[in-house]
Amino acid sequence: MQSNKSYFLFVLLFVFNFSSYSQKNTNVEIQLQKRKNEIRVDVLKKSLNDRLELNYERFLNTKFSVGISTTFLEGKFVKNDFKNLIATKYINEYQIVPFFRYSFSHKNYQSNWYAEAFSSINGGYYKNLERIEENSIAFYDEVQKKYTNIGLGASIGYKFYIIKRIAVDMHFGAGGQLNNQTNQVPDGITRIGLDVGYRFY
Amino acid sequence: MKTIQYFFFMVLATVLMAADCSNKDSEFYNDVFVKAPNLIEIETQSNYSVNDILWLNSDSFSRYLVQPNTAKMLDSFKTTSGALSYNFSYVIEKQVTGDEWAAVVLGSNLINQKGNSTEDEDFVNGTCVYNETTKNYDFRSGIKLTQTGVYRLSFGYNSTSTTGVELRSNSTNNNLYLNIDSNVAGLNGDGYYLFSVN
Repeated sequence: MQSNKSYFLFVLLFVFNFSSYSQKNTNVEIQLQKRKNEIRVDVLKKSLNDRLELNYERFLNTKFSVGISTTFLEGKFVKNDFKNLIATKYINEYQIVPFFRYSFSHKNYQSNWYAEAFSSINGGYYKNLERIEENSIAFYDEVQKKYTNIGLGASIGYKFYIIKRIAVDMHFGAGGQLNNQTNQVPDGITRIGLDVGYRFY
Repeated sequence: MKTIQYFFFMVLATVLMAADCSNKDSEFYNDVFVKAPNLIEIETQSNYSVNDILWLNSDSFSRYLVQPNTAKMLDSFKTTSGALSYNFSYVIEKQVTGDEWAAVVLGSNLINQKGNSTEDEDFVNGTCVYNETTKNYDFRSGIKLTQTGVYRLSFGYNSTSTTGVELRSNSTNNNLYLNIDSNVAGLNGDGYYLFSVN
């Protein structure tokens, strides 16, 4: 509950900060155009989901950019707690997401909406009930297994800048796994986040 | 225009938070469902008189269960990581008129010989208890029939089965629950054992 409040305060703070910088400023546009690289960290996943997500984005021109996002679950969480999460069937341990973005408002660098296509290399653990035969008897047991999968999806997002280089980026998207023959891992994948980052030369 | 954008921004934030909070888990049930025949027996008689006892008996079923279409027996004790008992429920009713039946209040007429039976308003909860020495689950409980009339016994209070009884392990510490569907001889097509006391 405390983290939820902090999160909304954080969002409000940036919204109001942004409003004071939202006037068209050619100098800022030029500054931003010169800065072709950006790194970001997802503050949402870190605070709510025990995950660390890092993003790198390279701006190709005013319309297009490419990048990669990596998300990792803290290893200690998997080892110690997954078996004890009774109702939890799977845990996504990592996700590597190459993405390609198109900006809808490329004339205004300070804030823009964008669409994104992404692929996802993801993996983690899932639980399965299995009948195990040993010597002359059989029994059932809860078996923990690893999975790796590849998915494709799309997102939309909104980004704005504060003091020419601090980026705030929100996005959400969804997609599907290309292979789920075991039927034990999630069919869908999500790409959602609230990133804060730095744009540089 | 900016106001609309900010509003959308906040809605988006809420959706993101809700979605991200729930994306790491989907349902996992630690319940195993199997079939094993004849674990509970009704010790039937050809006719009953007042003060006779209707016995239910687990016949001390083994922890090693015979399952249909499988060569190896299922170790129910190992599956449940040592469940010390299994529960099932049954109901005894007396015919009032025609299709009207009323649950019989048993009180001291419920007799525990092995395991345990406890009356719980409209049904009886039976417990088959593990015997460490024999490695069997023991249960034998009787109902003293104190009045004449037409009676019926069923196992359908906490179950949808009309052919038998469903037993569930009393598992602890997040271990697997074993649910056993076991057919019972003597039930009619509606899942009742019907008898008269003279």
